[in-house]
Amino acid sequence: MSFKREGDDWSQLNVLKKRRVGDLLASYIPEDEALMLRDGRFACAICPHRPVLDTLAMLTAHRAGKKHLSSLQLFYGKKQPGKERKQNPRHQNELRREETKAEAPLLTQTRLITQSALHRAPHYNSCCRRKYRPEAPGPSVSLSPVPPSEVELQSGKISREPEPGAGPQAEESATVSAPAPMSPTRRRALDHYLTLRSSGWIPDGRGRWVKDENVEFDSDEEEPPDLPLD
Amino acid sequence: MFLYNLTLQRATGISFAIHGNFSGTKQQEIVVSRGKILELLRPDPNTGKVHTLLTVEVFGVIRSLMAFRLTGGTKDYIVVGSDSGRIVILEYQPSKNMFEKIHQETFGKSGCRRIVPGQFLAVDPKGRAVMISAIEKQKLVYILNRDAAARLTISSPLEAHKANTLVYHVVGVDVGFENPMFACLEMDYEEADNDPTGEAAANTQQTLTFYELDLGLNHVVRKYSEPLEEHGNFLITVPGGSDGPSGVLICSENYITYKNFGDQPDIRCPIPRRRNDLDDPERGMIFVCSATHKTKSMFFFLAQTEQGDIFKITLETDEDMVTEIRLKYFDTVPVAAAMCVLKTGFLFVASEFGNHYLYQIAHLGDDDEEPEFSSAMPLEEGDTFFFQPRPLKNLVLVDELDSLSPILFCQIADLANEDTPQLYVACGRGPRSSLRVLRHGLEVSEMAVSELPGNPNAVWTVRRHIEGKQLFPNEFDAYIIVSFVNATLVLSIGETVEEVTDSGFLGTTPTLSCSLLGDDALVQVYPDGIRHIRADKRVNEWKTPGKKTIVKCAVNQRQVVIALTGGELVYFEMDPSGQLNEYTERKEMSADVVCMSLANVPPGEQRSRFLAVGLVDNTVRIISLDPSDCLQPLSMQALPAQPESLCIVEMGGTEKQDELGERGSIGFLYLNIGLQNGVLLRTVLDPVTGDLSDTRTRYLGSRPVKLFRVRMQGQEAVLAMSSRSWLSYSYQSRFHLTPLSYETLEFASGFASEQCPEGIVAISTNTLRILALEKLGAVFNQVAFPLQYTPRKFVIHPESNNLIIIETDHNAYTEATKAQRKQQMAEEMVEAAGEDERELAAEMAAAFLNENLPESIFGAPKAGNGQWASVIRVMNPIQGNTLDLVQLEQNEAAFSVAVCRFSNTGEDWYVLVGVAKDLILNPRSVAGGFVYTYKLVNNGEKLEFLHKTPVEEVPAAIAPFQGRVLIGVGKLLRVYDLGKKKLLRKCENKHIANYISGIQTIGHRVIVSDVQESFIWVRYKRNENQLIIFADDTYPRWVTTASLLDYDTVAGADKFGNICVVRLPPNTNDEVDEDPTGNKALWDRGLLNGASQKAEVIMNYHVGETVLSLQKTTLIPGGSESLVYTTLSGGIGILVPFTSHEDHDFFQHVEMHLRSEHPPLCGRDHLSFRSYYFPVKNVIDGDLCEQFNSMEPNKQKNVSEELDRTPPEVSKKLEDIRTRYAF
Repeated sequence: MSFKREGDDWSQLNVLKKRRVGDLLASYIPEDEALMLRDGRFACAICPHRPVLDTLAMLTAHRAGKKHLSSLQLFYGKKQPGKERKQNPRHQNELRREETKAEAPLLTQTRLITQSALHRAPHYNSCCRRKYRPEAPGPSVSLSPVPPSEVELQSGKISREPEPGAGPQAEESATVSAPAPMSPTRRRALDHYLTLRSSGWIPDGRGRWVKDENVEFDSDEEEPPDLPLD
Repeated sequence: MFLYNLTLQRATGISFAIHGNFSGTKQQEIVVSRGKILELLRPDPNTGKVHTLLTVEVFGVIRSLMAFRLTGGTKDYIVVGSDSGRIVILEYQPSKNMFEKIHQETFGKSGCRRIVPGQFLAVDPKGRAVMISAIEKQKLVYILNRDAAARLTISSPLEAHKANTLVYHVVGVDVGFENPMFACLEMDYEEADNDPTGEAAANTQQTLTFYELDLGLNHVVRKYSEPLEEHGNFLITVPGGSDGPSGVLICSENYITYKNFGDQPDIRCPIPRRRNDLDDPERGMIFVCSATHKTKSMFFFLAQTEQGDIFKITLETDEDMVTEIRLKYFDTVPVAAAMCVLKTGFLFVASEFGNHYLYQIAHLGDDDEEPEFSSAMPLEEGDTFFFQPRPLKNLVLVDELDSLSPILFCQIADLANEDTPQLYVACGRGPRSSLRVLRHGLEVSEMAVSELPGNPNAVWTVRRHIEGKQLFPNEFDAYIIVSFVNATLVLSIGETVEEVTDSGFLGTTPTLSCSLLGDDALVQVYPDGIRHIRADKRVNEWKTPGKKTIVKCAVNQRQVVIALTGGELVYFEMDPSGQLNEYTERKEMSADVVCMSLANVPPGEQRSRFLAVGLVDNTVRIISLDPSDCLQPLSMQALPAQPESLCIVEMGGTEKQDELGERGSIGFLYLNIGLQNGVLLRTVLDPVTGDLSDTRTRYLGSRPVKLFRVRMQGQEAVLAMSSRSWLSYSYQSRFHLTPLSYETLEFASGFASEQCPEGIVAISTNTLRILALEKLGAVFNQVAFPLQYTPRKFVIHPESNNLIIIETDHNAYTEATKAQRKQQMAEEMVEAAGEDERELAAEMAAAFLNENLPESIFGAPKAGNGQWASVIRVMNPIQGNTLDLVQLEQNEAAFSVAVCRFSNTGEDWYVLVGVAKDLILNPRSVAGGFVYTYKLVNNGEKLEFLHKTPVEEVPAAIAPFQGRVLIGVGKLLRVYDLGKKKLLRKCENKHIANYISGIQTIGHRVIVSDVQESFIWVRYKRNENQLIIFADDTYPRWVTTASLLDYDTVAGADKFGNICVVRLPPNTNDEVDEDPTGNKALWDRGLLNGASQKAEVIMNYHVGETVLSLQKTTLIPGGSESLVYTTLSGGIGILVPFTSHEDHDFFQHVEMHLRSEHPPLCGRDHLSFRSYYFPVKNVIDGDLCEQFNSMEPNKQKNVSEELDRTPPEVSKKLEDIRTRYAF
């Protein structure tokens, strides 16, 4: 049996080629602008109505659309009010890359080459990689001379990744504390929020908590537990 | 990732056992099959111990086994039916200690298939033909004969096929020297298959069919077939020709029937049943295995029922017509897979599950009060005889072979704080189950311990000459000589051990060494001289010159070498007249001598040619003792530390008898060097040049290593003593260095007496101990603690290290139900009795209630389908005492257990047990389940019942998760939190395919194993309180157990005997979301219900036995991590990663060459066996590679040349990779 393509239907081939290019280009979609669903489809995270699209190609097509572009403006306008409008992460990355290039282009290049020479096989990392969110102040990103992609990976590991074997408690606290400096009260509040959510309470949008009907509670449990005071 | 598979302990359950004279001598041996392993055992008729002579892994499934002997021959061959699509005939070669394949005939495809023969084998009792049959349709007959050179020949196959026929059993009928005949239990299903009404299916009868091989026409004919009234399960051949009436016994449900050709009427006898049995009385009784014993004058059969009761079956004949079948209750032993009656009067009982036993048949049960049942006794149809089971009367247990089979669960941890982890293994089945603690080491049996007046520093044993036996000195030791700081004590060995003073030894001085010299003299070396005691008690003394004293010495049967202070060597040799003569020269060494060793004198030679001397300057020198260059140095080896002790031994050879009838082993000479830093070196000593090469190093312990030569199974071995004692020996052509599971010893010597032919006498502080090492070759020694039902799982409470075990049995009664039923039966007994018999009946009922036969031997009563019994036990794994026991109700079956803490209750530990209620396995139905919650109190020793949570399905998996628990309820994955009245369901995922069999967690990830659909990766989203599937596997694996290797990688095993490692690719995104639009429609489920991200297969490997536990752990302190697996048939193995590309490359080549140069014994292709279900990937089979050591030397040389190495280098590599990870 062979998986070689037979026949000469060029149009089909071109469709495939285009899809492949589309797939390759799709990695340029920032991760927080789309949601990947458990069935492999994608939802646009920019548009408020969260359209679900079957393939990457469709998502790409959607992203070129007028509606999406207007939502994009809204989205970033809301997200980073103080900052420039068009500053999406890709843009930032490029800016940063330019900066480092300006430093010592030859050096950076050599470093890159040596690094890739040492990594003969693709880099395997058993840790879960968290998405890099631009609003999270990544520690010393621009100061380091190492290429930014590399820094993201490593700093992510150091600052936010607990040891995989460290047990659920450690993992939990580490995840909660992920967005670095946070006041203890705020942290406790957030922790409390997560505890309530995971034990089946749902905020009703008016500052009160209601019981999730799919979740069981103790019979005397009418009100959600209060925030611990200490 | 590349892995290397090593077996630490081979499977122990036996599926077949045959006996015969396989080595061609008078001795009877047993060949057993353990699934994929063929093993030759020899019961020693003198000691009653069973020794393993040879174990070979065949890399195929052995499906049938038969012993075969040509007419008039004296040697038995082994016929093997396997999954290779080939019939293989093996011959045991005692000189090489190996099985030789003499015939291999291909007839079909490989694999266990319906119509490819291999499942059944039958041989003609007169040794003319063999029939190999499939389960359906195909049967082939091979004619076996001998050629002019008396070699076995095999014909081309003759077909005896019959389509649409199922086969249940085949035997060869003993017809004397008429044409060979085979009897076959068959069922023709053609009609039943073609009748849609089902009427034919209901009426189809089993038939007994006779196939005759017409030797004249060279053709097989279906001679005769008759339908049977009962459905038979197996056949027993009745001796024929001049030995008996011929014909067959058909064992069927409740009846045993004799059938033969001609006018012989059928003789039918019911199978007796136990009186007052708790079993369901409607349940049929069958025989499960049988053994035939035949002498010139008589024959009988022993047949065992499924309850373990053995009946002796005899046939009454009247002029070759059988008139009567007689059955007599013989004894009860554990249910066997095969029984062998040996000519020496032993009964070998081999079981699939549980230990194997060797019994001596003390009585034949001929003249006792036991009632004899006969077919001639009139009985109503459906009625049967009753007997009373009792403890052993005719059999005497002489040896027990430990078997771990089945291993249901295993955890490896150092709970006893011994720095080496122990294996806690839940094994056994029903009332014969146990928790066994395995430790690496050789089991030591203590034969005697006696206290001495002071602390001795050394001990020796010497033999004594017996008149008339010139060639062999007496094989047993006569004296034990114990040396103290300023005295020597001589003990004589007889009925008792007592002190003697007339031995001729000098008692007022410490002794440096002593030995038997020549045939009848003794020599004692002490600091001031040498004392030579002749047989007639004449004493010759040699005194040291001047102020010099003897510091070290080495002695063997003919030579004495001493080292005087200052490093001067003096050499003595015994001349033919028995005189000890000093060599004309002495040798001055460059430094002080710290140790010396002489090899034993090889048989038929005058002297040992080499002396090894260890010096203070960290060297060992080999000095020649040959007359041509006496005391000339031959070679030298520098050492990393100062030597402490030396020992030259001959090992690795096979026992041989030369032309003169002199026995001796021809092996290699090894110089063992014990260093002061606790390291043992073993180097090969060239027997011609005296060169030292091929050094192997092993760290033994913290103390300097002292070495002693002992004998083990007729070969020399070295006992090495450091902070632990080790035995270095060669066993089945492999070197073993195994620690003794015993306290620290200080000095030792070999010991042989009538009771203990191969023992060790050793000193430990002020005691003298006589020890025996019987289980050579065993890797683990085990301590077993009995359990009540089959253990299913256990967890370790991390604070107290106690085990919480769940034991569950199907088809069993709980203690309460049992007592209730007993009471009920006793009442019925009284009620059924007449007015005048009341009193007697009451007495009998009371006796019945008090009677308590141990269930581990007599079996537990069978309660019927859908009846379950369970207990939860808290056990201390060190002492083995049960701390708490919770009996569940009848029909509640515990399936899962977890010990955990809840985040909302602080520091308390809870035990959760998942229980199924009224589960019926086939057709499957369940009335629901419960999760019992217990609080662990009293420092983890007691279970305090908290509450019970009802669930809809079987809770088959529980795992702690982020301060709560994940429970797999049937196919639902749920998060539960601890509530006040029950567990509270907090979150649920319904998308697992069939049935959750296991749950592993790491961080926010949950890896669920499905019973059919491999692994599913689930992520728990805390802020949405959702469990979302984000990845799964592409293969359908029927996962039995799993273990996480790292955050992305999981190792799993399936019920077909495969192990795999799967890993999520690095770009896997676990932040997937449920559809935000909320319309969870059909099209939302993805392709074929699968997740969009798929795991990659890292490795696949077929072990060949169902793996039930996997754990990533280190087995030896300072070793590297390995993946340890245990199998249902009692095997333990490891998969270890390669650390370098060179190693991988090397072993890949070794494996490749061995596949072609040393193909598996039963004809199955190695590569295809290891790829039975999935193509083998990234695993190298160490079991195959290690067969390099048992290859013939010229083949070894060829293979190692291909690898650009020498054979010792290859075997060193093989040994290295094993010792780096395990033992």
